[in-house]
Amino acid sequence: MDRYLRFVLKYPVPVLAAIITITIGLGFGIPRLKFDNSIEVMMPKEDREYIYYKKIIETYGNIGKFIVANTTADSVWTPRFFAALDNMITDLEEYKSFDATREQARLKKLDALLAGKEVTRKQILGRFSDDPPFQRTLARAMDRLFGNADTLGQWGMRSLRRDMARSYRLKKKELIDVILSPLTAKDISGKDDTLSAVDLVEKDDDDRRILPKSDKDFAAFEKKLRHNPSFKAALYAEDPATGKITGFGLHLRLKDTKDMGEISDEIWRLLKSYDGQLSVTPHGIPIVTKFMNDYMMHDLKTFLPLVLLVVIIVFFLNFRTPRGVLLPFATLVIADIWIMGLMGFLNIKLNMISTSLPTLMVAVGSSYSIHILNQYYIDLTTIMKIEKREGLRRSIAHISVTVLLAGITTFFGFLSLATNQVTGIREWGITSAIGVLFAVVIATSLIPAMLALLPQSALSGRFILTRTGGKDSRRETWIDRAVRLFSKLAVNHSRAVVAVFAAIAVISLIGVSMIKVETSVLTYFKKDDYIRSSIPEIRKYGGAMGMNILVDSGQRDGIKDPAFLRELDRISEWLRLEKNRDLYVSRADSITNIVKTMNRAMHNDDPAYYRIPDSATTIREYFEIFSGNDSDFDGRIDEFESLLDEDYRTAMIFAKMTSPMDNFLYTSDLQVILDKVESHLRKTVPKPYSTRITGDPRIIIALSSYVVKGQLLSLLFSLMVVLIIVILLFKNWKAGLVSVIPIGFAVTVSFGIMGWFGIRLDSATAIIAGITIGIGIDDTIHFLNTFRHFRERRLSVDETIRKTLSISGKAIIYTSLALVMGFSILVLSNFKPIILFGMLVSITMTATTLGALLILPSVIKATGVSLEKSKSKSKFWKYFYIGRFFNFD
Amino acid sequence: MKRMIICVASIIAGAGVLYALTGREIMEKSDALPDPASTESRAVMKIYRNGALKETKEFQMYSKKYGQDSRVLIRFIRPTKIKFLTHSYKSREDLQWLKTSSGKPKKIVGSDSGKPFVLSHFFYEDLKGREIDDYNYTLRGEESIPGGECYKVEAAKKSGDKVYDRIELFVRKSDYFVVRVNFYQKGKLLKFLTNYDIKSIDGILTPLRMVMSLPDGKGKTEITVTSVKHNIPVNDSLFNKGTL
Repeated sequence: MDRYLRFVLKYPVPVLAAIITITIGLGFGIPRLKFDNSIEVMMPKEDREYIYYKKIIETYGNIGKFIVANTTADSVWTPRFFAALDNMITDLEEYKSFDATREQARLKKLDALLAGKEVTRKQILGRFSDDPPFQRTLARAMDRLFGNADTLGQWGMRSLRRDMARSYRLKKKELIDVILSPLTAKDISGKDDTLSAVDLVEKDDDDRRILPKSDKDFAAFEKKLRHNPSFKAALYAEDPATGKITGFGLHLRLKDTKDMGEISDEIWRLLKSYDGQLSVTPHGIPIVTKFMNDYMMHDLKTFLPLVLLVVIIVFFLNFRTPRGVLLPFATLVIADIWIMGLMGFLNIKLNMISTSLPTLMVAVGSSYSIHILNQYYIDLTTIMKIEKREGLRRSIAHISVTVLLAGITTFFGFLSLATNQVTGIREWGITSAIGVLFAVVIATSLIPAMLALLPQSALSGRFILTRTGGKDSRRETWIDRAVRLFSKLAVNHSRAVVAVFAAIAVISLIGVSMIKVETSVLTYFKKDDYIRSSIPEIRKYGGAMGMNILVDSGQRDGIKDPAFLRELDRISEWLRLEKNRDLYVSRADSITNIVKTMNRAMHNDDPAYYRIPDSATTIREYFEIFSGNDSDFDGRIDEFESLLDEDYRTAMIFAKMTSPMDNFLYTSDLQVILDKVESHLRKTVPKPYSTRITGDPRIIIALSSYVVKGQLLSLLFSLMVVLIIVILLFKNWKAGLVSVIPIGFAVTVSFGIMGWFGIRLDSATAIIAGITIGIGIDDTIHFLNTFRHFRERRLSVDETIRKTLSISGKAIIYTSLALVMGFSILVLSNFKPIILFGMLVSITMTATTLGALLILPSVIKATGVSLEKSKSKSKFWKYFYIGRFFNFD
Repeated sequence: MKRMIICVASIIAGAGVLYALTGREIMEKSDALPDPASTESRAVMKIYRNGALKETKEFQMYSKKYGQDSRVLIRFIRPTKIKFLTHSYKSREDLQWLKTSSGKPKKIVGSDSGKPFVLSHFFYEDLKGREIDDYNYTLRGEESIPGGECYKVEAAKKSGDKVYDRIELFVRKSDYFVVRVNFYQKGKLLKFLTNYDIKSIDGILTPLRMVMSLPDGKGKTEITVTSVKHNIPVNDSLFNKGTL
């Protein structure tokens, strides 16, 4: 460390140039950052449930990722409403079926139009008057990009062209798998010995839908809708009081993609562009994820600068010097740029957990830089007496070792999370470990280099030394008084302090036992948020989530056996029984609906034949003559794909789930529901049939288990790593035990508060423990190393505690104060995880500060534990004592 | 529902006729190849997916010409007992019926041209008779393929149901028989049909094996003719809806 410091102080300009160059280079990675808050980001990829879920998606399509939208208006039976609905669906169809020739021709035509110096909106739209879907795409893009601007200059034209190229690329992916709506649905009719598979809305020779226009048309259309019982609460919603149709359902199933965010955004914008013509209320997991991404992006943009501003203000109030503000600030900003830029280049997406990284960088960056600056100001008198760079070296060398130690301990603590099964936490562990290293490197390079270059005379304010009667003195602040109080309490009332904090820890532990785990993302939203307030609209279509029950017939073509289909029917009916209302299953669809519809059609639409035929051959024939496309030639008509596998062996029952009237289903509710269904299936489904439940509820439950077990185990593992490092560093096992007390206390208090105040443990709040370790160990190492430093100078324990607190204590308080104030700003957010995050980080900061400044010295004093280096000559210490690398000897 | 097949018969009876005419003259020569007045045949259909045989079906087929009109009956023997009957008219829309093993004959309304025939890789469109005047033809050169030296003719449908953007017919130079057809959808090769074991049976060029394959090699449907007779007496009652 000393050699490194000499190098930095000798070559400050090249060092700064290198930092700036790396910062600029990595800065280019930041625009590449993408958000991904899908549940899959969290799930361990090797999890059996997850592997099964992915396998099922390959076979049955992306079963959980669908958007449901209620489309309505004052009256839905108007030509205007139908025209708008038709346009909207036509626009969506462009993302389902990509026509390369058409799209290329559009772009070519657009390029020709944008070749001039400027172009008006009217000219652009007029040029595509023969292509209404693309005209609407352009109008949407211009509304979004330019608002009401009528004329596009060079920049505008380039932006529009870029946006259309983006739209082209997105359409090419054909990410919408299925569009189900009253305008695209088909039905089978078999009256008068005539079998017809008809679109509910037919098309003309130019492939345009022939929309109902007159009252007579509307009546005929309504009759078609009501003809098929399975259309109710799927294609249309009724007013429960009058029975009148009040809205139409639009269901979009998306393909399994890693870029769910982009297509969800596009669909949302497309649907909402029809507001005014009709009212659209989209919902479903892709929309929820989109909202989460948007909120996080918004909050990151809005609140991170605010947090930084508050931190700067607190820095200023503490140090009262420009360098006291700018150097820590530069450290944490650069650390943020490095880690976020690196993530961008490595294509690591931001999610609910990794969004905490900028915050973490602010925390550790502040801490490392404040400790260094604090030491610098303390040693300023000495520095001023000798040659500046030598003075800086002597002052910073010791604190840099402490910073390095704290950094390394935190690094390994975080890196240990790489063993976590939850993918998001694992990624967080690795990136935060790297980020911590970045912060250490920047703090120990940037600050000494800058101090070497800056003139000493620039100092002023709180730490300016005034010569009074030949003695150094400083103005006493409330921080000095607080530190003195802590010293007094630790030295004189250590047992009482330990007893009080032990009591707090016990109360917190009771709280910990009350913690509820929640991985349902709906809990992230406030009650008045769109995501929650729109639930009643979606309840009309049976909800936006469901469980998938796979029923295996045990043999190829087993689905064609009537006995098996009847078993499917029995399960579906049981799910919807009145006595099973607590399952919240609104409808349960399976292949039997199609077989029954076919059977009825083959018997002149006689309702008595809406049942499963008795002959296996007949069922097989129905599958073969069913009118539908088989786009991927896998032997299943597209309509069957989500309902059965290619071998016609395993059928899927999709049980759509709604929720209690004024709430949503918590993870614990889902667990109860799945347990009940599984128990029933186990008892009633005859051999050789077998069943298995998958889908989002199953994944949410599995994830919840990982969050609890995985995260808490990782936490213990991190603490173990910290414990071992401290033992090996201080050559004293008691030092290790003592070091985990303040962190353990802070973690217990954080979780205890969550338990007492009903804050549920989820993927986002679970990470607070990690941050606690990061900051907690930092404070602890600073205390312990400074304690060791003075203790080795043969000061008494009391004196060592006083001295240690007067140096490290202040720096710890400065850091904590800045961060507590900074993160308190986050409670102004609209997004619950961010509010809770801000709140919990602030609590954690306070707890770790108290842990390091009050509990740690009190425990040392009360137990009389010696932190001196072991005198043992054993081979173990010969090989494993790592303090020697940090000049502890 | 399933539109009646008129021309599995055409394939079996002489696929050269099926894809008649190209750069007009070539296709006219192909169209002029002898056409049977009636056919009785039996065939096995094997459906392969991902390299594995998934299903085997067997059917009988009867066809008969009535002037410019024609009638075709396809009767599946195993594993199902479905019957498809088509009355095809030169001057009006075709009539189609199907009958399952347990139901009454049902008249089929609506177009299924682009939909799979009994879940195979053939579309109903592929099995239909094609009128030479329904297409515009362009000669795209000559190519040597496993079936022999061929003219490559591109055909684009003028009107009606356009299941494919275009098709490419490989017409053998030696006898103007169509040995391969490429089918394009949305600008991409969707699948291709290859005729094998082309023999002259009762004076009619007849492929005894037809394979509709996907370009990625992941699936194909193979129809093998196990017996075929042309120009033999076929009872008219077979084509009666009432006797289905």
